[in-house]
Amino acid sequence: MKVTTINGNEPVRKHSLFRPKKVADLVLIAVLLIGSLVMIIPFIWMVITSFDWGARLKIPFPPRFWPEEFSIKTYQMAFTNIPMLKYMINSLMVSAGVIIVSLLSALFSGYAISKLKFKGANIVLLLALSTMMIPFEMTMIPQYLMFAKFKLLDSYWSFFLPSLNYAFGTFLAKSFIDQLPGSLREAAIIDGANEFIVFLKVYLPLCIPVLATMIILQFLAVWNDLLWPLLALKSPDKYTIQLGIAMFSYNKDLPLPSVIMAATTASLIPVIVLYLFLQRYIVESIALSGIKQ
Amino acid sequence: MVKKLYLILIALLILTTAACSSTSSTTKEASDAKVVSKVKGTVRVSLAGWQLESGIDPITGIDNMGLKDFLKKEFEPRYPNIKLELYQVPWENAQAKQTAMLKSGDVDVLYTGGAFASQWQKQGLLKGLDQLIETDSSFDPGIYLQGVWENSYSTKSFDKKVHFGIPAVLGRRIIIYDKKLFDEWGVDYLSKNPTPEEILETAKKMTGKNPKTGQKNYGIWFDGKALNASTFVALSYAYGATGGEGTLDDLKNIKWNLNSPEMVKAFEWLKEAAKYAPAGMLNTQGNENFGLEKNDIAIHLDANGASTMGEVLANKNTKLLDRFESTLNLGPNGEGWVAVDPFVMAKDAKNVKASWEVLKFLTGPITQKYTYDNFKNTPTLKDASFVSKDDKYMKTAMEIAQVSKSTLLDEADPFFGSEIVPAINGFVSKARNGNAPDIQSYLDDLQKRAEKWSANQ
Repeated sequence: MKVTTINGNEPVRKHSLFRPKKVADLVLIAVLLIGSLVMIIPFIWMVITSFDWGARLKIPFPPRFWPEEFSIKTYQMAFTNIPMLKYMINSLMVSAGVIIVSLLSALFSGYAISKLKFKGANIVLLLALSTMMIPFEMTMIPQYLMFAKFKLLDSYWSFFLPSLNYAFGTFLAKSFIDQLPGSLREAAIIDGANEFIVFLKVYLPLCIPVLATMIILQFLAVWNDLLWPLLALKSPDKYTIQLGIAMFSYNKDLPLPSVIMAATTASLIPVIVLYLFLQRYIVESIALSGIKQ
Repeated sequence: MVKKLYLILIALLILTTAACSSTSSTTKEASDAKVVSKVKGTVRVSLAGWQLESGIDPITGIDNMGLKDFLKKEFEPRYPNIKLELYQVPWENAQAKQTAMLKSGDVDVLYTGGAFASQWQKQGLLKGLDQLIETDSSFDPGIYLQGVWENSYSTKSFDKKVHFGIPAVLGRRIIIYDKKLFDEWGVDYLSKNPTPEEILETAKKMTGKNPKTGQKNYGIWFDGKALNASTFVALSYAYGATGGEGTLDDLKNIKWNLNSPEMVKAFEWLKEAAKYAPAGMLNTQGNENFGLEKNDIAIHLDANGASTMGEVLANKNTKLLDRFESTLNLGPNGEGWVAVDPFVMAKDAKNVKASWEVLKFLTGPITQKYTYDNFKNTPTLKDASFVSKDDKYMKTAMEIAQVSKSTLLDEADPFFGSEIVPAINGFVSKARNGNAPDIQSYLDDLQKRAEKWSANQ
């Protein structure tokens, strides 16, 4: 065990992760390892099967972790039989629009509830949060009928408009902004800034961690959504990625497992890229909220 | 830096994959088709599961033609004034999406599952086609398999008075057996129209350790989780277990007979047969190698032959074609459950004349040949000379469709789907695990539930 001191004060004992001191640590590591394998093995199987031309007609049984016939034809099929690239671009466009609309809504409302302290602010927050208790399956039919009446079906407005209500984002933004000192606002107002400038120039730059969290959450929600795009969209040219993946069982007798795995693996790439860029901010956001508490 | 590297690598992967893909059209030859109709209009067509873009055949790995290219080549010259708007819907969610489209008046013509179509017909969402058929001398219903045209709930109303659908694609449910395993076990091949007893006796003889290879073999496979209980439906034909008397347009007055001696026989067969099937059958698994070199199952009920034909087409492995033989289904004339996917017309189709022309074309011989050539869909035509002579499985399926009729035990029957099928699958599961309940009491309970259900209609 290495002992160091900081500025001649009490010794600080360092424990290495790779030298567990107790049996309990070993057991914990074993359990975590098993848990990790359970999580990661299906993902590995998915990627391997996506390159297995021999698995295109049936899922191999027993499951195999090496392709019987390695081929990128499955990916070629995924991108030619269905216009996968177009669908990915469509999903990116929808995600971008939804993220912009929902973030603006969440940040403005979160700031207002947190800092402006108007009468009934808590009731507004409570009402917004209460909408989260209603499952989408209950609202999808009236929502569909409403958009049909406004002739907004088969357009991306049917995605952007509902995202104005991002209650969870409002809650996240409000909780985060609560931790930022109100004196910043007071000082800015004394200097002559209006509320919008205070929000834009003082608080928004400080909200990067929570912004990152909301971006990734909204991106995942939109990227993975199948039900609402299925109902709202008619023209195949406007379909999103999940609809594209769902198209693959065009013949009920041919489930095409390896092609579906190829399409699914390809669809994960933007999500992974986004997470790679934003994970630092997400971790910061979690860490900051922990320290403040 | 590392993240940027990841991004570059991933972008390269996407670009390479997209670049490797080919979107070239397969319309190499121009059609010499003449104009069939000058009817004008826009027709909105919703298709469950069709491939619109040209791409790669998953079976053979060679290029196939998407529907858009086919329509350009064959439909547009014949119907130059009809504009088609195609809406593609995934199979898994087809019912929800297409029901929404019908109710909001967003579609004119639909291709869908037979069970969905029969429900929509009952709900009054579809147009009856009889008047259109009678007034159009160019349309000949005689080109379709008679059993499918006259007796299927997927195309004709429950009271048999109204044609609402034109059959387009047939589902294949045939019996296929492995002659190689039969030879290894020294068992006689199945007859052309085997009885349930013959199947059971044969399966019993071939379950266990193969005397030649030492490999574990199973005598039989059937789907223990089928949503349509197709094996049970075939047994009902064999044993005369009709399930009751009445019609599906008068659910209140159905005289159910679900606990008859014939039904008991069918369940006894299931109980016995479950012992000779792999455990995976309870989850529609265990048959992944059937039809291929490594097969270990002697008899496969409700098979479609897709794996074998896939190997034959992709790798020219004709030995498999000789090895895996097909027979008719279990009914006395070879009947079994027949899935039919039809084209139907919405009740408030905007342009009925144009929609009718589209309906006729998409169910006609030209389109059925196209879907057979490119996707190996089973046609619904009496004379399907374009089916390869090697494709014996498809021919057997069409023979079965010619003789089969829908009964009360059909997925079009709401009680069948909601109560009878779970009861059958539940029973098979318990039987496979050695806990089969007393069959008569089980069926008595089902009978009571059926009577109560009908009384509440």
